[in-house]
Amino acid sequence: MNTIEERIRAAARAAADTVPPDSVPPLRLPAGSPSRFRRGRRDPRPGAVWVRRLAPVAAALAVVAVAVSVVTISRSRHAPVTSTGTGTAAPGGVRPGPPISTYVRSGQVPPYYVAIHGYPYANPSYAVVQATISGKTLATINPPTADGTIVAVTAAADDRTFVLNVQARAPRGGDQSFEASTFYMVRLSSSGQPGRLTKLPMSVPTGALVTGLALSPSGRKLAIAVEPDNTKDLNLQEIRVYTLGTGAVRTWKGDGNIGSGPDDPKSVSWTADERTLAFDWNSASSGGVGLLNVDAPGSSLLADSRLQARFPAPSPYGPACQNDLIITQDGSALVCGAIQANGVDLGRGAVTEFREYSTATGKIVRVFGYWTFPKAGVLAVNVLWSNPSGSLLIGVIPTTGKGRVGVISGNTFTPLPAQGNSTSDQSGAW
Amino acid sequence: MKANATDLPPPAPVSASAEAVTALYRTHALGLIRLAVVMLGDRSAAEDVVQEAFCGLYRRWHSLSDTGKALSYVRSSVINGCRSVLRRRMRQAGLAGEPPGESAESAALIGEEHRQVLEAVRRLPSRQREVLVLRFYLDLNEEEIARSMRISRGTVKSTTSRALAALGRILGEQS
Repeated sequence: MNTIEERIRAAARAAADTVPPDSVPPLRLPAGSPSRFRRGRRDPRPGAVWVRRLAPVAAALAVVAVAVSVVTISRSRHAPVTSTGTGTAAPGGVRPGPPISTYVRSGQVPPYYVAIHGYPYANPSYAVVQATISGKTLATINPPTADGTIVAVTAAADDRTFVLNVQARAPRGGDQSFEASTFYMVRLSSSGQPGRLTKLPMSVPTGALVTGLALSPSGRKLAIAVEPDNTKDLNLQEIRVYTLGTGAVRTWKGDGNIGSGPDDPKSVSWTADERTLAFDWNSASSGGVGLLNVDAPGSSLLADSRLQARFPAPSPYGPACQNDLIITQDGSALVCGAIQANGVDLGRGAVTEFREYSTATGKIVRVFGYWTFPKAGVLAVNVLWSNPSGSLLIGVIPTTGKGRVGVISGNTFTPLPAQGNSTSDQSGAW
Repeated sequence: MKANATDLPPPAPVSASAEAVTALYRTHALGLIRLAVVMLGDRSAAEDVVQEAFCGLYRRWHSLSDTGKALSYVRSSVINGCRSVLRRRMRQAGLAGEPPGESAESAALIGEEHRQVLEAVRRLPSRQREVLVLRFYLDLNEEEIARSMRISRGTVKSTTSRALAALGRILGEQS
């Protein structure tokens, strides 16, 4: 019996072979030179079908051009920096921000964060409380059970209340992602010391996949994105919202996927009024960011949500959101880390910025920073935290190494003083 | 009144960029159309997607920072184009009440066993489908797939694993 991989190969080759080598049609390039199109001049020949078909692309490029112009103007106002102290690629055009202490002491950035250390799939991983101002480890939170491993963390807006996803450790060689999940709340003292873990009343059984996790700003609700049935209904995706005080749960279902992979806590996010839950949506028929009104009746993920149009995918011609978009607490915007490949090979160069899209219109309203990396290495560019209005972010930029976490404000970047493990910082929740 | 040949405007000079894009097309169009056929099961739609991808490349040729990477760009465009076609088809299928399938012509050529596998692949979510085609048709490694799809290697790995499991279940149901 052929393996499934062999069957895919054979079927794909059979399909490919239906196109004989001598049957390729000629290329029909649009009239006019590329430079004429770039200047937006009309094709002098009426009925140029390719020009008409490419009009939406041109419109999108115009938006990108405006955004890049804004950034270029911004860059020209500031002397380029040679180093931000990251020890990696110098972010061209981005100024070093004020010391991290300025942000923390003024209350603009939360003083503590909880990050996952260890590699969840190599078992066991654990959580660490760190000081934003120094990167110093204040406490370690071990899995509450001997066979547990902590795979994800989400935070309330008070910077004291966190929820951990604790999974049973997968057997050797097994897939950790599909292990059973239980959820524990932990509160930090004013000095950042964790209290005891409190087991929450919900769980996700073995075989289901947690693809998103978000504690509400007040800490009273927990949203979990789950693919509940990976044996029969492969594309079924649920969002479950638990009211922690009462144990009540509401469930919305849809046909698709949320998030970019297992245990992706940034794929769902709350507004401060806890009425709207944003989720990063991908399905065969639709995609983008869904804005679910959790106060309205209903149980259909798509029918009860307003779906923002899919945002453009990264390309060589304009930065676009790479991973999840999170909603700002005031509900006005969706923010994301965006990347543009130089050429196509992202591993060999990239331009990075952070983008803010209006939830009302889906249009870009703000662009933060503009980093050029001659060699991007790991391609992480992500928003980890946003202040209520989206004007201040904590995010990850790519570097030649592992990526770097820092505070982004306007056109400045202040790296976090990571204690030698910036990869772990990228799992941080503030 | 019919215009004489001499009344027509002279042909535009062939620019260097047109030459470069056309040369790239001559070299790689077959492979890319085949890739799109694997994704879509429809020769005509596959040719349209590849045409659009090369037109897009031509329009942006001067803004490419490294024209040596043009092939990778076109391949990504083809993948994105296939995704759009499938999305449109799913919408239309939803309206018509029947799922999209292999064109009759292709189905006759590739045989029942292969048709079942391809239909199962096309039933997967877009990311899973693309990972499988890039991995098992183009034989790209995890890093190359990650770059083509702008996702992390970890996501490639977990998506491949999920896609294979899902495909096995779909094919198991069908048999």
